[in-house]
Amino acid sequence: MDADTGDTAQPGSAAPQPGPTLPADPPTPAATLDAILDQRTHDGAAGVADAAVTAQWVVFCIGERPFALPGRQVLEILQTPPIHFVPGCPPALEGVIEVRGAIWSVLRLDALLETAPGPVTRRNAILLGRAAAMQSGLRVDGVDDVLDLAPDAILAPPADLPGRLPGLVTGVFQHRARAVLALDLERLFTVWRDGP
Amino acid sequence: MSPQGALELILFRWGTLELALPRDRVQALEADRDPRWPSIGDLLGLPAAAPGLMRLLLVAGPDGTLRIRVQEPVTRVRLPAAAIHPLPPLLAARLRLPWVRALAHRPGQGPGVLTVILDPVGPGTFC
Repeated sequence: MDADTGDTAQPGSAAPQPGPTLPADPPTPAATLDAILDQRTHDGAAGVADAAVTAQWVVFCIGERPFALPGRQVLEILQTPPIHFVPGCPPALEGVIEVRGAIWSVLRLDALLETAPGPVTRRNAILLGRAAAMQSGLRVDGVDDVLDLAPDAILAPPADLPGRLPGLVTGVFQHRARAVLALDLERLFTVWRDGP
Repeated sequence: MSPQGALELILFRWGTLELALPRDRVQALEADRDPRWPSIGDLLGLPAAAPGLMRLLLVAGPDGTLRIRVQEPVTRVRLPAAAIHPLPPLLAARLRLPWVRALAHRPGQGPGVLTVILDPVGPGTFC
């Protein structure tokens, strides 16, 4: 069947002359709505995925030095609750705290990181940390910030870290014009558990 | 699910610490007549406590009866199993003192008071 052009020739009249032709559209692949929506959905997912690779970090200080732990390893930040002494613990283990009926050990991060602690102030806090089926409270001098960082914001750790830090620091990033040392809680806990 | 059962404990003090032994480890309670016996502070390496009334506990140890001086008050309590907590794993991993076996928060204790449960032999028996 011929295509209906919309121009109907009348009997006895001359056939209409074709008008000037419009420039043809450049060839494009055929698309369906489903395909377009699917593509847009994937575009959106890519955006979400890009956002998801940023990671949350909890920035805190020990004395004058800023450190950070991955947010996924920090369950809660507590104002310093009463800490109970337990006899027979090494100095780096300050004691235990009770949190809603559960007993948590409290490690002194200044001792683990061999970093001079700051004074006792109202900024002192305890991070409840969990990694690789190990958990403990971690005493810090103060929590400075919780922020999202893209992986490329974290650089390789400096080569000149003192003491025990080279085995514990996973990277370094800039925050408020200071170099923050990124830690990994699993490494910290393992070093503590297997330590002398 | 809450743990079932209860544990009888003999409570005593050393300075500001509240300590306890399972009742079935304590054979007798005597007056403190002989200061040559070691105190619980000596055995655990605790700081010296302020002077106070002392008692002598006869405790079943791995190699026989131990005589240990403790500070008054010495009391007997029965704690529900739910009030008794195992040591946090990272504490247990580095504890230098084999006697420290568990921690307890007694009903009626104010916040911030924990009892350290000692056991010179092994795990206590729930009844």
